[in-house]
Order: sequence, then C-alpha cells, then structure tokens
Amino acid sequence: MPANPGAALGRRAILGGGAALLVSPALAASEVRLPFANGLRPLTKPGLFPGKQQMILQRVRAPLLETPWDVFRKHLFIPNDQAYVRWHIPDFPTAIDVGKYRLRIDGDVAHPFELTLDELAGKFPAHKQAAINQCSGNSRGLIEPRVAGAQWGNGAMYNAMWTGVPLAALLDRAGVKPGATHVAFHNIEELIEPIPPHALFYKVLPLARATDPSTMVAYEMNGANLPLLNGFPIRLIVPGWYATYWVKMLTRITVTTHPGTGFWMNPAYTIPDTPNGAMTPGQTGVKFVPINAMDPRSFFTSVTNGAHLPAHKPTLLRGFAFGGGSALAAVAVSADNGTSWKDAALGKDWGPYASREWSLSFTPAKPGPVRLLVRATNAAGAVQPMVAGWNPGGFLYNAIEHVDMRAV
Amino acid sequence: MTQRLPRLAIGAALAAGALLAAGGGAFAVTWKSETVTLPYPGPHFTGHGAALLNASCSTCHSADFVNGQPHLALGTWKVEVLKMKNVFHAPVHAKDVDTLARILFDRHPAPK
Repeated sequence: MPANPGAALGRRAILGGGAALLVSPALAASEVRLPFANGLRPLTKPGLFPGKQQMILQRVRAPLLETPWDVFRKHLFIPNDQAYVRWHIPDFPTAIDVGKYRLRIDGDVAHPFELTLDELAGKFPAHKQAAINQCSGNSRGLIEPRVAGAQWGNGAMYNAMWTGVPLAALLDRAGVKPGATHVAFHNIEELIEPIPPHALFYKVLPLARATDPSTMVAYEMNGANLPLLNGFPIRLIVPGWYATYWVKMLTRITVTTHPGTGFWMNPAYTIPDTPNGAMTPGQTGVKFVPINAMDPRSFFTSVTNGAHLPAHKPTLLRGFAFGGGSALAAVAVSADNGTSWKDAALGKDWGPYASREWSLSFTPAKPGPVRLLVRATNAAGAVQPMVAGWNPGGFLYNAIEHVDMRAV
Repeated sequence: MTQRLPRLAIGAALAAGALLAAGGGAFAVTWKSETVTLPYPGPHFTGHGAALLNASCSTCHSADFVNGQPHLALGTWKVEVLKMKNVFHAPVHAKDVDTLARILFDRHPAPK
C-alpha cells in the first residue's frame, strides 16, 4: 500500500543507485522524488513543453509528462496546461493546419464520408460531459514487484469537461452495416524510420462500446481547444475506459468486423483475463485480453504524510474519487487499518465518469500516530483492494491509498 | 490555447449530469492552426555502455525514460531489448542483444 504521493515532495525515499537522470539545467527547474526506488524526476520549467506549465518529466522524446500531485490538491478539473501527456513514438506533427484537417468515417458503412473541423462542430449536435482520462499504467511505479514501462506516480490522470460530438451520431450518418462488430480509430501519426507498419498506433473498440452515448469525438477540453500534446484538434473520449482508447489527433474511424491485429491492441495494453486482471509473476497459461473499463480509485487532497492534526478536535478531511467503469457509489475512510470504515459525504455529482469530491470530519481520539485509509466503491460493486493485483504490464493499479500523520 | 477554466466557471455554466446538450445544436468553435516546438532530442546515454545504448536506442527515444526504470531481472531487460528490435526495428544487431540486456541490468542495480 503506497503512501499518498502528495507527501512525496518532502519525503526521503530510497534511490535505486542506478544511472543518474541526466537532464540539463535548460530542461529542469527543480526535482521531485516519487515514492518508489529510482523515483527522482526533474520538474520542467513552465513552457518548456508547448502549452504546459511545470510538469514531472518522465521522458523528453516522445513526451511523457506527469501532473504534479499539488495540482490535484487544488483542482477537481485539471487545468489544460497541467494535464499529463503520454506519447509512445515521436512521430506526431508539431504543426496542425486546421483548414486541411479531415476526419474520415469509413469501413463497413453504407455511406463513408469526410468532415472538416468546421463541419464536425457545425453539423452535429454538441454535447458536454465531465470524465476522467487515466493512463492504463497510472501509478505503475507503485506496483510490486516492479515492472518495466512508464514509471508514473499517481499523476497520469486528469478530470476534464469535454465538448464534442457523440460518436453514435457520426456512425448513424454513415450507416453501420449489419454484421459489423468493432470500430477502429486511427490518428495522424506517421511512423518514423526504422519503425515498421505493424507498429503504427491505432485502437479498436467493440461496436457496443463505440456506440455508447458517452463515447464521443471531443474538440474542447475545459472550454478551450485541446493542447496539441493532448491531441489537438480532436480526440476520442471513451468515458469509464482507460486512456489508451482515447485516440489523440483522430483522423479516421473505420467500422470493421475484426478486433484488430495491431501491436497496440495485442500484445500491448492487454491484461490477464482473470478477476481484477491479477496474476502472479511467472505464472504460465494465462489468457490476455485488451484492457477495458477502469477500476474505482480514491485519494486524499487535504492532508499529506507528516501532517499534524489536533487531538480531540475535528479536522475536515477532503479528497476526490471516481468509480471507473461505473459511477462512484461510496467513499469510506478507515482509521484502524481497514477494520472499520466510515462513509464520507460525496460532493457535487458531475456524472458517472467524472471525479467527485468527498469530505469527512475526523477527530483523533488521542495524541500519537494516525494512519488514515480511503476506499472507493463503484455502482457495479467493485471495491478498491488493500494491495493492487499484479500483472506484467503494470496496468489497473488501484490499491487503497493511505496517509500517515500525527495527532498532537 | 491553454486558458484555464476555473471550476466555479464550469459550475456556473452547467448543471450536473453525465451528458448535456450544449446549446442544443451546432457549436461555435474557434479553430486556429497550431505550430509548436518540442525540446528535442532530449538526453542521450552517458556512462556505462553509452556508445552501444545510443546507437541502439536513441533513434526513437531519449535516454531519461530508460534511466528512470527500476531494478529489473536480466531476463526482463532482454525481453525489452527484443521488443525494441523485433516490434520497432531498433537498430540492434542480434549479436548485441545479450550485451545490451547486461548493460541495462548493470545500470539498474537493486535498491540498497
């Protein structure tokens, strides 16, 4: 069970002792220590990456930028210029001509068609919805035993208000042919040498998930154009599912009868077809399936490790939570390591796929150490576990968070 | 482009709900072409095995991501090197696969 990374800034952590991070002073303003071995990361100078304030620098090329935890303590809706960034390959354009940009809908449809950006926004009904975008590998650095991949803390997620067109409206206009089962989503990326065509990024959704009313093509994030690094000018939004499906710089939507053969659908981004996607390291004969709906998670924002609370006096605890694949049902806090739980009050409901604030008054019974745990349950009955299930991709991490403080 | 929208502004503009019609029809979006500059190429490898690492890895990504990896088993490093070679066609000679895995393993010792 990891410490709340909110406290990671001031905390001594173990370093791997391996190769030092080598980043020139031109890139980094300061550093942050994420709460795992070899967790020292530079913090970028604001503006180093276009449209981004200070971010935790996981990789310059292709960019991997994590949202610092302090941002989550201040905002339920993460500002666009502090939303995390994740690109696999540096083969996306650094210039977008909005006059030339097209979105094509084709494949097993009666009437394939193409749209300009003005047509997309002007000819179809606009919808708004709040939803959290979370990387499949968010919190991977906290998984034990450790696995290879982006070593994120908890900051590879952002809750935002999205404006766009429901995908179902686009598919309705195209006329999906009987027998179609899937929809593939391609983007503007063009591979760089030496990467071969089978590694080109595209993702595939089952038709039912693609036509779910919440799935949409978004052109605004928190009331503004998307930052280029977050997919300008348009990206797919798949609320409740991990962000690997939220294809950035979306250019082509192809209705198909196949779940896809590309590397990014299989073997990449697959999870064990087991309860909670868990297995043991080295286990053989495990069937893997594409990652899909998110699990519930909850976090503290008002308190961090090392804080002092007044004994015998109430402190208002606050945080946020989300249900994942279904709406958040409950958030509870434990002061006895999970033996008993007390339900928190839930804040404004921004919809089933958004982050939601929680609060609870807590009075330490006596001076001394206080460890508090927070746990979310979703409408489908999924509950955060004390220890996250392990899988070799380091996906689905959602262990109960805790914070260690002292009552004085 | 990266204007901040305070939560209160969102709250004032919208009622709660999962999916809300925004004005009931077409939406006025201000489209403006974008050109950005990225701080490429980012760091290269230095130290143990740097020449081979840079020759094998730096075409596609900067070194910081690799340097931030945890201690991993030698076999795990070999799987990663083979993925880069076979899936992404990284310029890795077959004879160098084991050497690269060993270099990466040695650069990421177990936490003390």
